[in-house]
Amino acid sequence: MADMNGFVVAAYIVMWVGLIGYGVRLHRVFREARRRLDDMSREGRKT
Amino acid sequence: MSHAMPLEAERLSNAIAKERSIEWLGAIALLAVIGAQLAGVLNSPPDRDMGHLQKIMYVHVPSAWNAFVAFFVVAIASLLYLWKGKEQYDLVAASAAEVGTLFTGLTLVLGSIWGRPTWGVWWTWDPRLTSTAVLFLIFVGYLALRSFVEDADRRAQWSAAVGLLGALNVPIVYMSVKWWRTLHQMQSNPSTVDPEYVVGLRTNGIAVLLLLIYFIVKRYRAARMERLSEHLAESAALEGRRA
Repeated sequence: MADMNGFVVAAYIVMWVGLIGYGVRLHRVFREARRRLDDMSREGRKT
Repeated sequence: MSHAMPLEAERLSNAIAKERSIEWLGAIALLAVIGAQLAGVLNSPPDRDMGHLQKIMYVHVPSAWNAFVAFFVVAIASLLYLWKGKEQYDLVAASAAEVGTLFTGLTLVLGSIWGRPTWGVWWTWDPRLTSTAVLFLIFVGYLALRSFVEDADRRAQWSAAVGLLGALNVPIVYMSVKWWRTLHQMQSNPSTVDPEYVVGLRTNGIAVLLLLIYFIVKRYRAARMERLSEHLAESAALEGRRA
């Protein structure tokens, strides 16, 4: 039974690694997109 | 080199800057998933045959359900793009496809972790597993296609076609356990799941759905900013050429 519990723990770890990993990546993508747009907007307003 | 910011782009940029943050939804979704998983793990009794392995159901099945929801969004948004030709539908489809691919990948890995102690193998070419793997590969291809094609209109049209074809695979995945002889158990619904597990399964499904909505909306907002930056870069390049 202890072996079986190891599979359950592994499944929950995989789930959270997937969710947190994607969440962190999404946060970075969003921040980079925001930064790039702000830079371009600033540059555009100079004229 | 500086360039004039097109009025429409400036209007959109200002509108995006004023948009309300949706981090509250992410926080609620995160708490909901933690709460639903804790409730499922702590409250549900071990299954007669599978013992505590049954608890993998609370992560595997909600991942599969929500991957289906994401691909349904892809199908609708792709159809709307092909019909109306509006860029926003392409971006919604792309955002949902990325999140759907994540959940399909999780479904496959979690199912494999469940399969090893239950069936004795990590993988078998069972109709449900194979059709899910095909679904996953189609959407990996969809995301690859989007990164290869530079022309925005062509990228959107091809993506919409692949997205629709990929989403057509969802009913095949769902029905595969009925249509063919399979090792996989029947679709998880109140008639096939023990009543003791139904509430936990639904609660986890809804909690992951909240997270799915948060991911898709945030990805869409990021994609919209990326496209706007592309538009601005294109108009700057055009102006540079004229000057």
